[in-house]
Amino acid sequence: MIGYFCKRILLIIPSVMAVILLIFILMSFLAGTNTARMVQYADDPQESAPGLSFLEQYGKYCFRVFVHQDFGLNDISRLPLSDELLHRTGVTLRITGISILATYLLGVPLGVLAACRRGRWQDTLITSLTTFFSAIPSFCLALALILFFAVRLRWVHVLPETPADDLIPLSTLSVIGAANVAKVTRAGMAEVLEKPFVLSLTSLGLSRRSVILRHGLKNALIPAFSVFTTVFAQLLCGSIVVERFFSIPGLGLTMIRAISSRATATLLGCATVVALIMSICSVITDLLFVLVNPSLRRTLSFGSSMRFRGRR
Amino acid sequence: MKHNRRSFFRNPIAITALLILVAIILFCFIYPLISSFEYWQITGDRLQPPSPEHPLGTDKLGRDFMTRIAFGGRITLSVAFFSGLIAAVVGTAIGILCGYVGGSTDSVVMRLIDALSSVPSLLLAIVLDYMLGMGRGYFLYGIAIAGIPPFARLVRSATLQISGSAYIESSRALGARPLCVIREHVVRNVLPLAAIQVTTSMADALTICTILGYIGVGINPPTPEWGALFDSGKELLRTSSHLAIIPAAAIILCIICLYLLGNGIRDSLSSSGGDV
Repeated sequence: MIGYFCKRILLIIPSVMAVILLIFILMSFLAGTNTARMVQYADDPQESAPGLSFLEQYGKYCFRVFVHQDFGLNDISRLPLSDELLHRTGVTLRITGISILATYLLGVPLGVLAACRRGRWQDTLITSLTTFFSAIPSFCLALALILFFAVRLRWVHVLPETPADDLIPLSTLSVIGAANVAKVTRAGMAEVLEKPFVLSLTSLGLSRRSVILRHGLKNALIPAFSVFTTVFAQLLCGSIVVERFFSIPGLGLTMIRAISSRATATLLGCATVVALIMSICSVITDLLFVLVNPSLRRTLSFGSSMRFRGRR
Repeated sequence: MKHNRRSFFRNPIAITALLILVAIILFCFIYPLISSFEYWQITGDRLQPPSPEHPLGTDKLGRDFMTRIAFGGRITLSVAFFSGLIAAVVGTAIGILCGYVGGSTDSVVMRLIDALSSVPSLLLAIVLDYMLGMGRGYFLYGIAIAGIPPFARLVRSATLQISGSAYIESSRALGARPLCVIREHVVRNVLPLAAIQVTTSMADALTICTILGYIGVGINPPTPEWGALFDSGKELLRTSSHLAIIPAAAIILCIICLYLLGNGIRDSLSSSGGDV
């Protein structure tokens, strides 16, 4: 099993390289991009030096990123991108990390509750709320929270200044993520509750609470964790909007600025970091899968080369 | 079909949602024609409160806000409508092809669809917009492409189910060509399903369109769009909060109506059984 995960972690590198190649190809089609010098480095020779070919550039970029952790220079400020990206990624990961925890802590209980009260008012309420919150754009929710907590009640500042002010952006992301997790958990739990083992456990005299929490939940968690990557991707997308709304200097804000100023190297760096985060995330999904599903653990320890994806 | 229609029109929630949507669309397309201002026209008085002359006041440059909301709605709603429609047509075609032809075509195309749906739709729309040139409305295609996977999956599984049934086999045995079978039997059975999905997909397209407008990669500044209007109103939250609340409320209202409409269509189709 450890061998399997070592392989999965090593596979991150080729998959990130594939994403970089894809972006390089797309960028070279883009009108107005200097394809000979898409990324410039601090130790580059003078302007008069001939440009590199497409493949040379790609190879150099991958080598620099994976060996030296060097993303080149920022197109506008001419400072090394690595420091900037490291700082920005830290900010974004802090937001998304806390909100994905809150997402699961909020979403799983709500989904279980809805499944257990199927057809009653709790179910209707939770189902309509989850549909509502996963449909509206996140800035609408952010606006509602800001209007209520910052403008009306004046509990927090409109723009984050103290740690307590971070609660609004965090809860915006968490509510949207929790809506999706609750949806999946509800479906999974409802399916589990129809299975014959639930009936047999109930007929053996176990209380409904123990059937649901000790035996049902374990099975319902599998679909909930299988959407981990999807929900994380959604939170990363949501953080673009939330960072812009609350002016948080994270990866999303950097990306928006890079797009509007056509900063190729910055955009490439951001995309590489996002690809890296998503690949790590899919490894985490696999780990969570093994944690909640013992039968997979057995398959893996018998050295099977089975590859399973963290998607439904 | 007649029965379906009757049960749809007896559903008060779905009818209300449809009427609200039609009212919003009519307002957006007619108001800029009868308004005495253009959406870009600066009238001189900045941040006016609502008055008979300016029903929703003016924005920070002194432009009539009601006209801007209506004109922005035109753009947002047309993008949502057309990208939802393109996604529906292309997705349904791919789904029928994969479900009916099967084999290696099916597995290759469906893997591509899987890959497409693993990229978050917002990022896909941003990237396509950036590649194809910003501010020229190309993001519509980005949103449409992002909306294809659910259609393709839904229609494919329905097609698989139908093409396994006995009457398709017998019509094939009678010598019907594949195109004829698809046109006469498959499409008719699949279309109601796609009709339910199309409202959801339009609501999603509306969300992505406003988010793109909000982060400033959708449409160039002088042209209003609900997300962009929200963005410019957000800076003045304390003094004139209606500049941000009205676009947000319009977006939420449209999305809720689209969902309720979809629910109404689904209920009317499932209550009669038969077709689906």
